[in-house]
Amino acid sequence: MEPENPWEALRASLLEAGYSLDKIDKLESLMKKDELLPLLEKILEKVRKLGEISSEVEKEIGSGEDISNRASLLSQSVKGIVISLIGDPAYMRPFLRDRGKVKEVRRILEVTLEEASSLERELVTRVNAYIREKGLDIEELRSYEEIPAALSFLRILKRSEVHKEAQEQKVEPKEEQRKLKEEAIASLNEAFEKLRSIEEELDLMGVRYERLSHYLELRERFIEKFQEVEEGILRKYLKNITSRLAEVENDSRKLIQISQKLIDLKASIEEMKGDLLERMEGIAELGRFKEIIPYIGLDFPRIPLLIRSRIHIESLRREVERLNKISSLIKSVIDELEYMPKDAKLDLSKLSLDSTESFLESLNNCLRASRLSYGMPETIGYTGMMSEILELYPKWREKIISLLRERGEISLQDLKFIPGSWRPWVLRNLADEGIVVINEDKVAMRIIPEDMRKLEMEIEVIEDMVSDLGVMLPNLDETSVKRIREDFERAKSLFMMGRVSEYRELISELRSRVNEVKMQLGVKR
Amino acid sequence: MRKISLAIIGPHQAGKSTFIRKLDPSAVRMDYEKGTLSTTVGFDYGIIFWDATKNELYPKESIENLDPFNEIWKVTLTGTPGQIAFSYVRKALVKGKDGIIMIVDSAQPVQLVYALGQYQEAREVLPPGFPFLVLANKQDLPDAKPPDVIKGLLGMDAEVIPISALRGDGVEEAFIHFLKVVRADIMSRSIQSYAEAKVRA
Repeated sequence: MEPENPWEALRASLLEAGYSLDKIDKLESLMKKDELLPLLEKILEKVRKLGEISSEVEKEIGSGEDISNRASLLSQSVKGIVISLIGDPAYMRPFLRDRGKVKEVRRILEVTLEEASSLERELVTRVNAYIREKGLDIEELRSYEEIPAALSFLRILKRSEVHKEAQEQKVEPKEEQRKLKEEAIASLNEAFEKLRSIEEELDLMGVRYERLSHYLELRERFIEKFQEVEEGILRKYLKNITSRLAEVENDSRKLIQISQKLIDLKASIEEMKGDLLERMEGIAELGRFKEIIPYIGLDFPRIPLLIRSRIHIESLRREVERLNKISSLIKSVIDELEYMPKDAKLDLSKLSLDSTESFLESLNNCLRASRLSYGMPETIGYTGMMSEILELYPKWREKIISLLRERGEISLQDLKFIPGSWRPWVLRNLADEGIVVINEDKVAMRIIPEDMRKLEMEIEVIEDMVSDLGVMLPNLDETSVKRIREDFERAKSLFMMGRVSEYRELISELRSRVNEVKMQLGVKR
Repeated sequence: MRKISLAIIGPHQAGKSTFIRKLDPSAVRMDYEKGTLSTTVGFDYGIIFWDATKNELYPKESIENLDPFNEIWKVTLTGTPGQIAFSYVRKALVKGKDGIIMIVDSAQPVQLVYALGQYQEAREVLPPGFPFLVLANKQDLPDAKPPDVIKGLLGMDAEVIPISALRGDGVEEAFIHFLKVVRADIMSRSIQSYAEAKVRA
C-alpha cells in the first residue's frame, strides 16, 4: 500500500531507486538539522492536495488541468532536488558540508512553496470567476480550503439542472461545432507560436524562464483536450487557457526587457570600470583603491540565468535597478575625476567599503569635497590596505577551497573575486599550506586527498623535530626520515598518475614507518 | 602546513615547563650539551596545532581530528633554560623564532630583573618589533601580583596576561591570542615582501 505521508512516499521512491535505507535516514537527519525537511514536507503536502483539488476543479468547471500539470512538475522538481542532495558528497559527508548549497536549496524550496501557494490562489480565482459567470447562488470563496465544499455544491446544482438544460439546449449543427473547434485550435496555436518565439529570444540572451517552458511543454496536451471537450465548455476553456497564456506572455516580455537592460548595464559598467581606472591612475592617493574596482560587478546576476517564477522576475528587476544606480554613480565619479585638480588633497578616511554603492557614493563625495575645498589644509592618509588583505585572506581562502570542493580543479580565471595583483600571493600561501597543487601548464589547482594530507602533516612534525632536535637525538637515523619524505613524494606522483593501488600500498607502508619514528621521538629522555 | 616557532623564556622555576606541558602533554624533555664542558642543561620541546579557522588548539597526537582544509598552523614551542649562566644556550634557541613568550612568577617579583635580562638577550638576536607577550604566571598563589603591577615593575611596553599554568587558567586563551598576533606579523611581512618584490619587478 502506498504510504499516505508524502515524505514517506518520497522515501519509498528513493529506496526503490536504489538508495540504501542508511543513506536515506542520513539524508533525513541532515535535512532536519538544516531545517530543510519541514519546508520540504510542507511543499509535498501542498502539491499533493493541489493535484487532487485541481483535478476536481477540472472535472467540474473545465479549468484546472494546467494547474494540475504545474503541480506535478513542482513535485518532480522537488524530487529532483532531494535526489541531487542524496547524491551529492558535498552535502552528505559532514566533512565536506557546503553551507552555500544548503542556503541555495532553502531558497529554491521557498520559491517552490510560494509557487504552490500562488497556484492555490489561482484555483480560488477560477472557481470564483465560474460562480460569477454562471450567476450561481453561492457566496464567493475566501480561501483555498473552501474549494472542495464549493465543488460538492456545484455537483448538486449541475445534477438538478441537467435535465432542464437537455430540454432547452439548442443543438448546434455538427459542421458549426467542427468550425468552432478549428478556430479555437488555430487561436491556441497562434498564442503558443508567440510564446515559442519569445522563448527563442530569451534563449539567445542566455535566459530561461521555467514557467514559459512548462507551458510550451503542455501545448500538445492542451490541443488534445480541445478535441475532446464539448462545445458547451469549449469557449470557457479557450478563454481560461488564452488568459493564462497571455499572462505568461506578458511576464516573458517583461523578462526580455529586464534581461536586455541587465546585459546592457553589465557591459556598460564593465566599460566604465576601464575608464574609471584610467582616470584614477592620474591621482596617486587613489592608487590603493584601484584594486577595488575589479570587484565591482562580481556579485551581479550572471548569464546564463534561470528564472523560475514571477517572484524571480521581480527580484531580477530590483537587481537591474541596483545596477542602474551603480552605473550612474560610476559616471558621477568619472565626471568628478575629470574636474578635480591633480594636486588636490583627498580626505579618504570617510571612504566606505561596505558595498559597491557605498564605496562609489563615498568616493564621489570625497572627490567633490576635495574639489570644492581645493587649497585647504592636508587630509588624512589611508593605511588600511594591509589589514584589509589580512582580513580578506581567510574569506578568499574559504571561497577557493569551496570552489575546489565543488569542481575539483579551478583556473585562475575563476579567481576574479581576488584583485589580480594579489592572486599569486594568495595562491602561494595556499601552496605553502600544502592544500593545493599548482599545475604550471594549465594554471590549475587541485586538492590533495585527505589521507595524503594528514600523512604529510605527520611527516612534517617528525621532520621538524629532527631538524630542531636532531643533534640531540643520537639514536635517531636521520636518513630514515629523509627516505620517508622521498617515498611520500613518490606516493604523490603515483596518485597523480592514477596508480591508485600502488599509491595506497605505499601510503599504508609510510604510515607504519612514520609511527616507528614517532615512537623514537616520543620517548622522554 | 605553515609553521610558527616560538621560544618560551623566563627565570628559573617561573613555570615554563608546566606551561608547555599544559599545551602539549607529550612535550619532549631534551638535554643540551654545553660545548666542550661536560655540564648539561635541560629544556622542553613541544608541538601543537592551531586551527586558525576554528580558533582551536590540537595536540600533535590529534592530527586525525584536524580538518586539513582549515587554516592549520603547526606551532613549535621551545622552552629555554632559565638559569643565568645559560645565556648562550638561550640565544641559540631563541634565534630565528617567530615570537617570544616570557613567563614570570607573579609571586616572585624579585625575579623580574632576570626576566628583563632574558628579554634583552632576545632583542639581540631577533629583528625589531618581534611579537612578544608576558604571561604573569602563578596567579593561583595568594601573594601573586596582578598583571598591571607586573607590567609596571617590568617597565616595558608589552602586553601582560595573567595565567595559572598549573591549573590551566587562561593558558589556552592567552596562547591563542598570541598566535593571532604572530600570524598577523608573519602574514604582514609576507604581504610587505611580496609588494616590494612587485615594485622592484
